Amino acid sequence: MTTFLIKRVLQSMLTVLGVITAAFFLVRLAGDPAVLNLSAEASGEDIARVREALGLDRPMIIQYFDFIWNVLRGDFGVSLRQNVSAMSLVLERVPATLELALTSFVLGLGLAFILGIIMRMTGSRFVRQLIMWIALGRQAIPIFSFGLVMILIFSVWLKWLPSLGRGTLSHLILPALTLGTYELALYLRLFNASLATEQRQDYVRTAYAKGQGKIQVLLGHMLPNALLPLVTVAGINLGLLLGGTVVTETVFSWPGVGRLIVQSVSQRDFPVIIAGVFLISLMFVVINLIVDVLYGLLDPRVRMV
Amino acid sequence: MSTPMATADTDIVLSVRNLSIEVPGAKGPVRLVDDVSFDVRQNEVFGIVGESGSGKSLTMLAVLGLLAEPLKIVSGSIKLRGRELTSLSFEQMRSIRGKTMAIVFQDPMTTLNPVLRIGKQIGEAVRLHNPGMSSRQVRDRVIELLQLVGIPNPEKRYSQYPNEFSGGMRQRVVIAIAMANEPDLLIADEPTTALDVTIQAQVMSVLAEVRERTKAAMVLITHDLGLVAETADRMAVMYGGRIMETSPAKTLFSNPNHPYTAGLIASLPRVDREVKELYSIPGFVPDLANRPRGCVFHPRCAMSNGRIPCREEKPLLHALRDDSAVACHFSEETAAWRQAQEKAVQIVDREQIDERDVLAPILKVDNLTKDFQIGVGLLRSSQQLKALRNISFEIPKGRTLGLVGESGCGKSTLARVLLRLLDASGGDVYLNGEPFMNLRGTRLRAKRRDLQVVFQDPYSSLDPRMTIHEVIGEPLRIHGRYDPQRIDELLAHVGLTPDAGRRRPPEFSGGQRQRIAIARALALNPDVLILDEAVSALDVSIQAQIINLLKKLQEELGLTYVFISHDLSVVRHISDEVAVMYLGRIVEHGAVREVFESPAHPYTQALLSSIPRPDASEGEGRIVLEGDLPNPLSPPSGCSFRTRCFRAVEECARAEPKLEPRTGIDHLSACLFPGKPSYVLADMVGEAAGHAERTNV
Repeated sequence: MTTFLIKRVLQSMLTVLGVITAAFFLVRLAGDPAVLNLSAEASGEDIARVREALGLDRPMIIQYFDFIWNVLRGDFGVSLRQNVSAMSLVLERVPATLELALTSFVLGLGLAFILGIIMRMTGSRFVRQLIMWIALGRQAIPIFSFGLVMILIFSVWLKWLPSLGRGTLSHLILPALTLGTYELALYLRLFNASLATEQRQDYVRTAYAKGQGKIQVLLGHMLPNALLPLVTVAGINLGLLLGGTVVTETVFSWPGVGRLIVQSVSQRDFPVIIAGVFLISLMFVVINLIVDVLYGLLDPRVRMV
Repeated sequence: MSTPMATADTDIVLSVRNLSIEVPGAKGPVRLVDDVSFDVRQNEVFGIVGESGSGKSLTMLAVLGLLAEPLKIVSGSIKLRGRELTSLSFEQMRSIRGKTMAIVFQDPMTTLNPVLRIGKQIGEAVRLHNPGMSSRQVRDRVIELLQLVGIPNPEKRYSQYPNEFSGGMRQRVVIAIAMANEPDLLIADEPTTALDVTIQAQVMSVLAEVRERTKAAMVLITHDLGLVAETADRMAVMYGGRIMETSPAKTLFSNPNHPYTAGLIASLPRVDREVKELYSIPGFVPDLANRPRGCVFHPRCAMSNGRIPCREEKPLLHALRDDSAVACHFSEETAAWRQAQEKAVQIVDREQIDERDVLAPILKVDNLTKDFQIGVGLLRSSQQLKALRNISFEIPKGRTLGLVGESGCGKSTLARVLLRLLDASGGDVYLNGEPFMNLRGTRLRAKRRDLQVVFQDPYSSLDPRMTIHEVIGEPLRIHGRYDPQRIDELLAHVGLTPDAGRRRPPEFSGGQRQRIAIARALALNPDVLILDEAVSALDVSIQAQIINLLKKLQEELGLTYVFISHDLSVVRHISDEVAVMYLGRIVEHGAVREVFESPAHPYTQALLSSIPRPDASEGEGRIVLEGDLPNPLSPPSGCSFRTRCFRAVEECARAEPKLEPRTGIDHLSACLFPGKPSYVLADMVGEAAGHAERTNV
């Protein structure tokens, strides 16, 4: 287990290195930061001065190693717009992103779990189809239009919930619901298919032959096995939620990392972009690492290897 | 319908009457079990034998109330200790399942839940029917059960997971679950089919022991005639969802009443004699959606000859003398048919065969080794698994080498190395005199034509989306020799018509698919065919057809076979030479008659003695090997078999005995004390034909 962990941690570090390397060069592809950040009337001399100040006059490869060295020391540079450390700007936004991502994640997974069990337990074709159609219908609507419709219904017409911003629990409900239900159909389909597969397994027959009831077999035997594929997909999804909630954050004016990165892109604030991308990729690999460990805990066969 | 079993006494545990099971089909309901009746009495073993699709497992699942949707009992009654079960709901059945009756399923690898601890899985069965027990009491009972089924270190095993158990040990756990509440009726559904022969002997003796202790009645469902004849008291033969006959198990081989049973017995290769050609029941297992009118067996019956009663009238089970009953209009003719059949059997004259000119070896294997590196990691030291150790043999053109051994002995690894699907770690292989192991690229592909393979599972070895024409044509296309006529010719070789080429694999039965796989292997005119358990997945009646086909093709095309199998009787029937493998080594090698009639290595002797035989009284002269295969990552010092050997002494631990000729033995063996225990001699050689079938089908 420890060797496995060390191996995975090293792999994860390589992944993060790859991501920030790609980010560094992609940002450079967008053009010369010095030019992009100066007004159109700036003279050639001004540009040269800024380039020198930012170290942009050196060869690209030197700049890259300089950048990596700084990252290793935890220095992501200073925001070109706000003149504060880029990383501190990003870190400021992390709690908001975590709050939204985790809430919607738990909401989506929990809903899928409960609905999946209901679908299995009733054994009714009608109930199964109904739930599935609702979930699919939800997924067919893009996040921004669903979000706007939610705002229209609950904020504008019913005036039950605030339409934007962050603060109280009531601020969280609409964005979390929008984001959380989006992957519901995927989870449900997967969970239902994997429960159906488990139902055909021999050990289920063994459990019935012992005299166990349907609910006992479902919860005690099929569930631990059926959760395995769900854990994998949920892990990837949580990573996506942490990084890719841009649309939801924008629709509901949620002050998260995603919105910060989008703002920084439009303002060409490169250090902030890179700091944000770094943090998101770090969270992504950490979550995947946790999923792998969790998988091992759930399945003794994986643990042995 | 009259009941064949006249007894109506109180010691009847299970009574099934006129049971029929149906499943909805495209053209109306399909009857899978048809009008089945039998009784199981206290303290007896009742065997149900049949091929796949005979309805034997469905019948017992119905007894347990575990028929899955959309299967349905349409008529009949099932009484357990006089209580009618068919009218009980699933919930009502819960108090009976696992308490009054329990079941041991076939495959111990899938029967246990992989993510739950063994102790919990057995404990569930205890707790469920003893709600008053404390956790401590449940745990004690589970430990007691683990001891009962002979699992060492029960305290430690209690908290382990199924993947930490070997197949044989898992099956013991499954038996422990079944015996948790000392049921009156134990159903064993192919309990040893997925296990090796030496493990099968262990599991059967555990079953006998626990039964002895609890006096439970047992229903043994199996396709293995030898096993049922040896183990059961009475038995029923099922075919096409109907019972063909019931009889005392001991007289099954000597006195079958139904032509189907007689045909099955004649289809079995035997370990004690060698015949030119096996009898094979013609045709295929019936498609029950188009159940034949009249007797379900008549289209394949050797005695029917299209007589009107066979075609028009369902024969009912009627009583004969000595507790037997048969469902055949002309059962009195069976004995005569059998005699005629027995007369027609040509015993192979080995001496004549052995005097054939021995041609130059076409396949020569010289000191072949294969090591696997296990656990190669960044920081972990790797371990070496020696899968093949110094394998050497030669096969002359046109001959067959049988490779026998249990799972994990390396026989399939050998096949993959020979095919160059795996790289050897050392040694050479010469094909037609040319070295084969160092070829690369184009030259390897060209040479591979001479060496083809047929795998075990005909369901996964053919791409379901290709037509048969494409399947067989593929090797021809790859080598630029595509010719539609050649494909028809190949189909004809394996007994299929050209129009089969237009269909796809799912439309064919297992036996037909194996014919297609053979045709594909023959497409490029190979010299050597590797047959990796090629008949193991087939039913007895189909197996005989394929074996006969293989023998015919060998004669016609001068093919050389490497025949890999765990089934000794089949190997005896088809091979000229046989090599026995244990833990990556050949431990005995010689002409087939020499090895079977005077086995020198204790392992070979144990294998031969593990084959169920109807004529042996319980336990007599049987070598039951103890324990499991040793961990191949840390094999025992010296002789690798010594940990399970009944003849091992200190000396065996010192050095690994070489495979060489030894005093008094007419073939190669790797044992310091070769030779035969007296009873093997008496059993194997001294017996006349007639009721000596010892087969593991």
